Amino acid sequence: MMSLCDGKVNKTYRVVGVNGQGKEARRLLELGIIAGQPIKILNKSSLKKVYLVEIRGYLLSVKASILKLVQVA
Amino acid sequence: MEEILLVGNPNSGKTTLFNSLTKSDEHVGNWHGVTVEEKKKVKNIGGENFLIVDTPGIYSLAPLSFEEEVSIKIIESGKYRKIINLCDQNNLQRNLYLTLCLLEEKRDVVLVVNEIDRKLKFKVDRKKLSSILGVPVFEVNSHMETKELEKEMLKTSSAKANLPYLNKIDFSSINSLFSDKLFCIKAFERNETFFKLQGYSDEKIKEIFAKVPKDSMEILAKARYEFLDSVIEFSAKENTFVYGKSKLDKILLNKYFAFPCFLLILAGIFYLTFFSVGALLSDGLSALLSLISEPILNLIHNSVGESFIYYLFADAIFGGVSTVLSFLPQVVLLFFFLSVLEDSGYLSRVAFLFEDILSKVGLSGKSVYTLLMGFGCSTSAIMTARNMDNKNSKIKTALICPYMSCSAKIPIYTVVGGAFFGASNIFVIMGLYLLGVVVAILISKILDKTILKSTNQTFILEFPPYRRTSFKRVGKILWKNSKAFLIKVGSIMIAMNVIVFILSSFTFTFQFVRDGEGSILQTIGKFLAPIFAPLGFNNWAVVSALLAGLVAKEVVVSSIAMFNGVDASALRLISESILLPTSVVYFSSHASVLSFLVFCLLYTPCLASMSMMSEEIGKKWTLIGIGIELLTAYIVSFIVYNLAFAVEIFGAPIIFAILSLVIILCATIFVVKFVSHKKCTKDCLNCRKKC
Repeated sequence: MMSLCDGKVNKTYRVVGVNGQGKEARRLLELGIIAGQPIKILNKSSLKKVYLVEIRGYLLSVKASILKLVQVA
Repeated sequence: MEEILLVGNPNSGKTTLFNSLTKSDEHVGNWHGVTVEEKKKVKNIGGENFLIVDTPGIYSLAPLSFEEEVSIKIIESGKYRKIINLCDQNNLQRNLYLTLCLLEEKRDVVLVVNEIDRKLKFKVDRKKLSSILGVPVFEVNSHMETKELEKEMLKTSSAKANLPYLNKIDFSSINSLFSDKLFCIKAFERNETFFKLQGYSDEKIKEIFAKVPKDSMEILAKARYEFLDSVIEFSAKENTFVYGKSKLDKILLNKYFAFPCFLLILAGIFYLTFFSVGALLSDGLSALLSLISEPILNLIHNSVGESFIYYLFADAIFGGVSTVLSFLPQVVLLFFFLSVLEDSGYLSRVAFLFEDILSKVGLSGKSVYTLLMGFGCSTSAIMTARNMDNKNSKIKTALICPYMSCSAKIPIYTVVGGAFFGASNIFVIMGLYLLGVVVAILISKILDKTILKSTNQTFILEFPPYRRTSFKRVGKILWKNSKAFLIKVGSIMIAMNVIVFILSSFTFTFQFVRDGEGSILQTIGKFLAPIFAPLGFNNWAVVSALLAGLVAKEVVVSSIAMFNGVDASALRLISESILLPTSVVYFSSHASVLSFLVFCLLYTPCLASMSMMSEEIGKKWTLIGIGIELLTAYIVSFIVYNLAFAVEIFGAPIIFAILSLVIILCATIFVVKFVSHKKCTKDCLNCRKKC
């Protein structure tokens, strides 16, 4: 198990869970990042602070510090 | 009057439906959060009047940014007849997630799935979806036929919603606290806003949240999504493509090409607006205007002679106003390009690219939208700062927005700059735009270090697909912006020009004077002029033009044209021959012209922007903003004037001398910083330094 922000570009992972009880964690859940879902990292910004991910058939750009909350395998 | 709300995910087409339902022309775009405030309009359906309310997009009933809060407060107020829940079929589960949240609150919901894209990610079977959810489902296509939907609005209550997943969740930990299941759900959601609106105190809310299981949010979200997966399996067909994914991104988001591409696009827009198409059209319009105004002026001259009335028409109305009017093509063109950019879906990519850099100065990638719109009009751009999700970032974004050179300043640069710099004015204008951006970033950095420290900004943004602007919309955009410009010129510009004319043609004892000698404005201007002496333009006329420009920036140039006694409109065409000899008196050197242009770029925005700012971020911050603007305008103009002056005297070598000094200084700072960097363990993810 690892955090999604340590993931590599063009690799698909499977969500294990979203940590945290804050607003950001809630938003990730609302957007469909739920345990069991495949999630793929498509791109990282130049300083690697923002990731572009594919989830549930759409694209989402999320700050790496927020993606830290997402546990994947 | 009873209200009907339009609610839905961001970028799901609420405003498009609103426009077609109410025959309005509200701003739409391919970006999340174009609508940032509720908009209401009356519509007559079957003899009864309803108030249709368009709301900013939301993902759930728990807000993350300011504009989401607006919508959620309206929904929770419960003071409406029905909710029309717009649902984008390209992103069915996530859109229906919001529907579930609404149904859990037992809201009267009509579901509308939109069919705007030709290629859809999901294809819904309306009847099946309606039967499984227990709500009426309608479709709207790109032709926006809404008759059926309107009939449904008239009906009072709909069927009871079917939410079986709620029975599977174990609410036993907080069952004793609430009798209503809805409150249990909201507690599991850790929805602070809901409980605050219900009148719970902060401590009480904390107490409630302490009792729910640690992973309550996950339990709830999982239950909802699992239900939705079964709903979709039953009622929709899925296509395999990824919504929003495009081959274009391979280039536009490429490590090496992304930033050059962005700069190229911006440069293209500015070139087309200022120098090729835009300039040609403006010259044509300018010539046309002088053709029209000459015979009318002659007529007035013949009937009243060289009296006050003649000069009022010649200088204030025809001279001043038509100078600005001739810029119609350029201003409209700029707004047109900005709209196309907005529609394209590219701005979300730009936000992604710039998040890195902008978060370093305490802004967010989302600020890009506000800042780019600022090139069009600061007033409407400032409002979009609501996209931000924390207060400090919102204030910062709104405060630096005016430094983005707005379209009202185009006439100043073109007329004044063109008269002095001729063909090389292209570099002056480019430099000014760049300077505005640089100053904005510096100010934001300074604010971030001092009074507006940024808390951890969130950045979660969906990528919409690339879209072309339809021909129908091209016409609409052109018409809408032309109309807005004409109304502005016809009302505030004429009024301001007449006021400036009267103030500059009468003395305190109401005697009519030509050339402004002894006039009210000259007295005030002369009083203030010494302040501007260090900036190189201590001339009363220029100073009063700046004063008049506080109302609207276009007045700056029309005032200068007026004081110059340039008759008729074709100021731009004849600027080399007429403006130059007289304006040399106004500006002693090229350095002072540059400093004047820089001052115009940076000093306080127009009245409309200021009042919008005070509405959005409060009086206190607006006043601070005005102070900062005046200060930066003064300081930067002073630096520019003295630098340019030095170059004029000492020639080009001074530039190299200064450049090398700056480079040495930067290098020293970098080395000092590099050497003094201590090892740290905190926040290594956000830190680029290798410890």
